Amino acid sequence: MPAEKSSSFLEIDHVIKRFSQRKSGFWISLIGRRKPSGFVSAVDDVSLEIKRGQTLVILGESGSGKTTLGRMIVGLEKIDSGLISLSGDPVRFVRDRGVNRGKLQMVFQDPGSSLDPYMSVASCVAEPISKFGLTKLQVAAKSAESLRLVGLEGDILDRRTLELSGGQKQRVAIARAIISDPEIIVLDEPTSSIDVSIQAQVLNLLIDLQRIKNLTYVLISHDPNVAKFMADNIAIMHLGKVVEYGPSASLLSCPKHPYTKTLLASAPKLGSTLPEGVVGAGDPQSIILLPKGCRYESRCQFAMEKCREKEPPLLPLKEEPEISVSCFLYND
Amino acid sequence: MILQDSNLLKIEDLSVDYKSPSGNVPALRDVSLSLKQGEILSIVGESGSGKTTLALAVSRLLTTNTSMMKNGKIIFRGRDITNLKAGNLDKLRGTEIFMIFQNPFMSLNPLMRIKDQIREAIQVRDKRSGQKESYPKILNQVTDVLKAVRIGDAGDIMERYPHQLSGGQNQRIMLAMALVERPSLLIADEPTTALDVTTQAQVLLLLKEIIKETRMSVIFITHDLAVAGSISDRIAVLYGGMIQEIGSSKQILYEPKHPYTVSLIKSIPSKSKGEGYLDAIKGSFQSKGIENMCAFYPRCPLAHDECKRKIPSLMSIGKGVYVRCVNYGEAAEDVAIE
Repeated sequence: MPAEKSSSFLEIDHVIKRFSQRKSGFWISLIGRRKPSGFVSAVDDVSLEIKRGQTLVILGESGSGKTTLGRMIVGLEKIDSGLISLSGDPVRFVRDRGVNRGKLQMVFQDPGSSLDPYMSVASCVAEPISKFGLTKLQVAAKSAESLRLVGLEGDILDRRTLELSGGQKQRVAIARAIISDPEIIVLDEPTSSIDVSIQAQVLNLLIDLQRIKNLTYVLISHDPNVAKFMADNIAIMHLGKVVEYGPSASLLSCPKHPYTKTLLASAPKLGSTLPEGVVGAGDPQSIILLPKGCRYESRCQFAMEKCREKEPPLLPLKEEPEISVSCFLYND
Repeated sequence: MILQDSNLLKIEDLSVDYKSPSGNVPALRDVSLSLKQGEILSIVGESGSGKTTLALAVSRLLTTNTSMMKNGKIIFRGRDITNLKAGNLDKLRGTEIFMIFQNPFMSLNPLMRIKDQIREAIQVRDKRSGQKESYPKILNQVTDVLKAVRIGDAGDIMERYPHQLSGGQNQRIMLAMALVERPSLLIADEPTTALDVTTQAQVLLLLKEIIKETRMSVIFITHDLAVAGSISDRIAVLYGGMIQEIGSSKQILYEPKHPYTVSLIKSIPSKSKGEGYLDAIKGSFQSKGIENMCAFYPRCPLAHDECKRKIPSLMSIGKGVYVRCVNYGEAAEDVAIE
């Protein structure tokens, strides 16, 4: 969003990520020549910015590119084109060692597979800062501090992570993320693999930590309820593009893009019946054979001739400039 | 619970233990349920509550080397199927009791084309009813049933393999097979949990339509109260292997009585940022140490000494609602859903 540049902290500037698709098979693998046969545009020309201490929620379905974008923010994925910068310094790919050290952290969806099952809780949490040149005492103090912040204490610290429950594992993952005093934490669906009764605990904890440590969050989610509770701003992603962006309250109460409307209406709400009519028929557009027009056109009930021919740009609304929508219904 | 003869399924005092080297772990404790013809019952609970065990027990899919059915009876269409032998079970499953699981990839054969999977289902059905149909006729049925579950390009999709389809499409193939078999009881174990919200809404709508058309009874297992509320006639809330509360969907969602149900509804995020904390349930589910007390006692906001003396009994409180709590009245005070 081309707003005033000085206040932004993390800037994502026209970022593109493509994954090449290769033909595979027995004979091809023998010959050894595996030329890319096509591309999947996982993230296609995304620009966003986040202010310090705020939370941006990226909301979208699977295949929308939200996780790929999150991975690029922390440098886990190489950026094909464009730039992500943190207070002016570009974020580098992790293999270029040492550049982003400790400033960027990520909490993954499934703590069961992101934590080493045979490590004790204490050593698992201390691991990220083990190469920071701190003394043993300093490391111990820091890990005790971050474990205390996430509410893990007592004999649990000597247990192996595989012995913990889902909620406890996610607390360990969060403690591991905050120990290096990061500036940004990317939370990739942090509560989708844990029970609703535990989800509220973890979300409360994240809000607390943000306040205490002035953290900036990028939260990746598919749940509008979680988004509402966590977000300052929300970006709706659909097939690699941001289709709507704006402040949480106005975006959720008055969604503009037809896809946002469908997404919000489809989320199950307590005491409401299924949203007939609003739910778009048909399956999502294939991400490999993208149309030249709008990517949502095949499922959109408002599709016009124009939508088939040209891709709508993401532009701020005339009357509400803090909201940007990429739909011809709002800008021509 | 009052059981009538109009019931398709009756479960009486079902208790199941899982065997482990350090002693048996109870998964279900004295679960009694009944299900009428054409009724949709949701079983709601968190992981470890025993909801999947209940589904597996009803379809008799629990293996004896890992689990033990301690006591209880499962009566299906007036017939006790608790100790049915393998040969008779085969006749029951598929045609009478059909199961849909969370991950459709696990249920479909990865080496068979979609049309062959559905053809197989049709042939099994025909064999049981003593019919024989020609191949083209069966293929026509395959196309019809695919259209019925809203698979857009049936001709193309039926030639594909499961890995070439999306999760939502595969789950619809499972529904297509259920539609072929027209079972009297469908057990759906978290059928939409692995799907995206938009696909979930589509599959739920489709499922509701199929249920209406075929008038089959459904046990719908989910962890999501909102999903349960949108699809079912009645809801049973399971915690610690026991039914804590059972009643009509409206009663459970709008006038929950059990503190666990109340806390579960309150912990669904509904606030915006800056409006304060969510009402979280303290602690997490523990299976140890709750053998002789209310299973929710360690986490209950209203717990008092009486709760840990013995397991409360499931009491009828009118309007078909049963609650397992000594002080059920107090819990409901401050819950209001608009």
